Amino acid sequence: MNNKINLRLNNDIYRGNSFVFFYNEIPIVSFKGETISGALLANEIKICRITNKINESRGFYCGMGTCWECTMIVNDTHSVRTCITLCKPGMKVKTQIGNRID
Amino acid sequence: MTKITNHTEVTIIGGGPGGLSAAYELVNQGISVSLIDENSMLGGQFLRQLTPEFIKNKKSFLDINIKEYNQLLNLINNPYFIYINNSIVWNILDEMVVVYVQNNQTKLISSNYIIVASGAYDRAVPFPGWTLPGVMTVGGVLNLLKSQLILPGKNIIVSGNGALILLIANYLNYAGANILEVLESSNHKLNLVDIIKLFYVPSLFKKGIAFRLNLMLSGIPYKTGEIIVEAKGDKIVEEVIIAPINSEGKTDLSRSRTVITDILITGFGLTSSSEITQFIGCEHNYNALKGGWIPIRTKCFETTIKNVFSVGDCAGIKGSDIASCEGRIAGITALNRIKNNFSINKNKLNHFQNKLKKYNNFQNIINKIYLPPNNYLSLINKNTIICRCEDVTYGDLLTYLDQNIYDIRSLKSVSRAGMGKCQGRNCLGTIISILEQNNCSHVFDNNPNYRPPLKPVLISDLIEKEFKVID
Repeated sequence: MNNKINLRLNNDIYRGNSFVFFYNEIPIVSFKGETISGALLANEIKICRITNKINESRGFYCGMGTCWECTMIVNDTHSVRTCITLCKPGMKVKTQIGNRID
Repeated sequence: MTKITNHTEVTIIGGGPGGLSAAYELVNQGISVSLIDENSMLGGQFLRQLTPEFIKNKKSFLDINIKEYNQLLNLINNPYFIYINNSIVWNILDEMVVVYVQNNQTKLISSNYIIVASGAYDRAVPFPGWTLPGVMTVGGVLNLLKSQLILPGKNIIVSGNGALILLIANYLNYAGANILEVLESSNHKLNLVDIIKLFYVPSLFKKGIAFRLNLMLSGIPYKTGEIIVEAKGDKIVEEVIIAPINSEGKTDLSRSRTVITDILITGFGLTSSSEITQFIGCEHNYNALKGGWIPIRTKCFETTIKNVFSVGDCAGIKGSDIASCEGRIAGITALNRIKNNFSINKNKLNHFQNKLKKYNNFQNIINKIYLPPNNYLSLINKNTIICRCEDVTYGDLLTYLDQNIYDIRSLKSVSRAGMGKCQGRNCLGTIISILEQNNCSHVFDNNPNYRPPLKPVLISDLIEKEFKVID
C-alpha cells in the first residue's frame, strides 16, 4: 500500500492558477482546466450522489458523460455531469440525494 | 426552435480518429465540413488532448499516441473545417438536418452527406459491488489522466480483458501510480501460428510487447486467467475479491483471495455508440462481442441509407487504426461523389483498403487471444444492480421473466431498467444477455426504439431564449 502519492501529477507540467470552490460547503483547492470530479478525486472525494430508491452511494464511473453516475448539484442546478463540467472559482457543488431538488 | 443556421456539404459527428480521417480527405480537397463534437477539443477519447490551461514543458508519456496523428489534430487550422465543439446531437430530421445543443442553444445544420463517427464507450459489466464509488472504467480513467493529469486514487487494481487494460496499466505506470495488480481474464497461450500472424502489423505487435515488458520491468504483476468477482466497502471501495478462471471458463471461487485497494478499474471491452444510425433507420445486426448493435455497411462504409456513412468504433469495436482507415475510405467515397469523378483517388482508395485488410487480420488474432470470458453473468447474484440509473437488480428482472416477459422492450417497460438518464447505455447489453441466458426465443422481437432526444438535454436548451418561462 502506498499513501504518499500526490494524485495531481506535477512532473513536466505547469498547472494554471489555483482557486477555491465549495464541496458541501467545504473549500476545495482546484486548478483552471480541471473538471469538478477531477478536482474532487484529486482530494480523495469519491461520492457524487445517493440513489433515489435504495440510497446507494455512486461516483465517477464512465468518465465521459455517458453514465450519469457522477451527477451533482452545481450552483443549484440538478443532475450536472461533473466528469465533463469544468470547475470554476466559487462554484457551490453539493452531493445529489435522490432525483429531486428539495 | 431556431431556424437553420448553416449548410455544409458534409456533416461529421464525432471528433476522434475516424471522424477526423474522413474530414482530412474532404477539407484538403476544398469541401466544407462541419464536425460536431461533444468534447471541447479534437481527438475523441483515443487522442484526447491535455486541457489548454495546463502547460507541458517537455515530452511526456501523453505524447505516445498523439504524435502519429498530428496531421489530423492540425485540421483545426484548415479554412474548410468548421469545428462545432461542446455540442450534443439530439435529433436528426429528414433531409439530413442535424439538430444539436451548443452553449444552451439548439442549432440546426443541413448537409448532403452525414458521416457518423460517434465512437464507443466502456462496456458495463456488472458484478457484486460494481456500483461502489471507486469502481471505474478504463475509458474514464484514461480521460482523467490524459486531459487533467489526475490519478483516480492511491492504490489501483485493473481487471478486464484485452489491449485496453494493457494500455491503461502502462499509462498509470508512466504517471507513477501505485498499481497493485493487473488481471487479464483470458489465459490463451500464444502458439507459433498466432505469433506469425501478429506480424501482419509489426508496429502494433511491437507496441504490445513493449507494453508487457514495461509492466514486467516495473515489477507490476500481470496475471492471466484471473478476474474480479466482487468489490466491497462501506459507501466506497475498500477491498476486492479476485478469483481464477478454470479451463472450462468458470470462476473458481474456492481459490478466491481478497486484496485491499481504493480503486478498481474495469475494462471488459467497449460498446458501439450506434444510437444515431439506429435512430435514422439504418439496418443493424446485434453482436455482443463486436460491440452491440452494428450498422450494416458497404465496402465503403455507407450504411443502408444513401449518403449516410458510419466509421470507426460506432460501427463495431476495432480500435483507432481501423477507424482511421475507415474514415479515409468514407471520406474519399463522399469526395468522389461530390466531384462526380470516381477515378481520381483510385490508388489511394486501394492503399487504404489493403491497409485495412492487414489491420483487420491483426485484430482478429488479438480478439482470439483476448477472448472475453463467456460467463460475465455468473458473477452476478439477485441483489446485484443491473440498471444503475433506476436501481433495478437482477432479482427484480428475474421476477418479471417469471411473468412471461420475454423481449427487451417489454422487460424495459415493466422493470424501468434502461429508462434512466443513461438511456440504457449501461444496462441494455446485460439485459439482452440475461434474456438470452434464460432461453428467451423472443429476445429481439420487440427492440427498443431510439427517440429524440438521443441524449438528455435541458428543456431550456430546446426553447428560443426570447421566450422566458413565466413563474
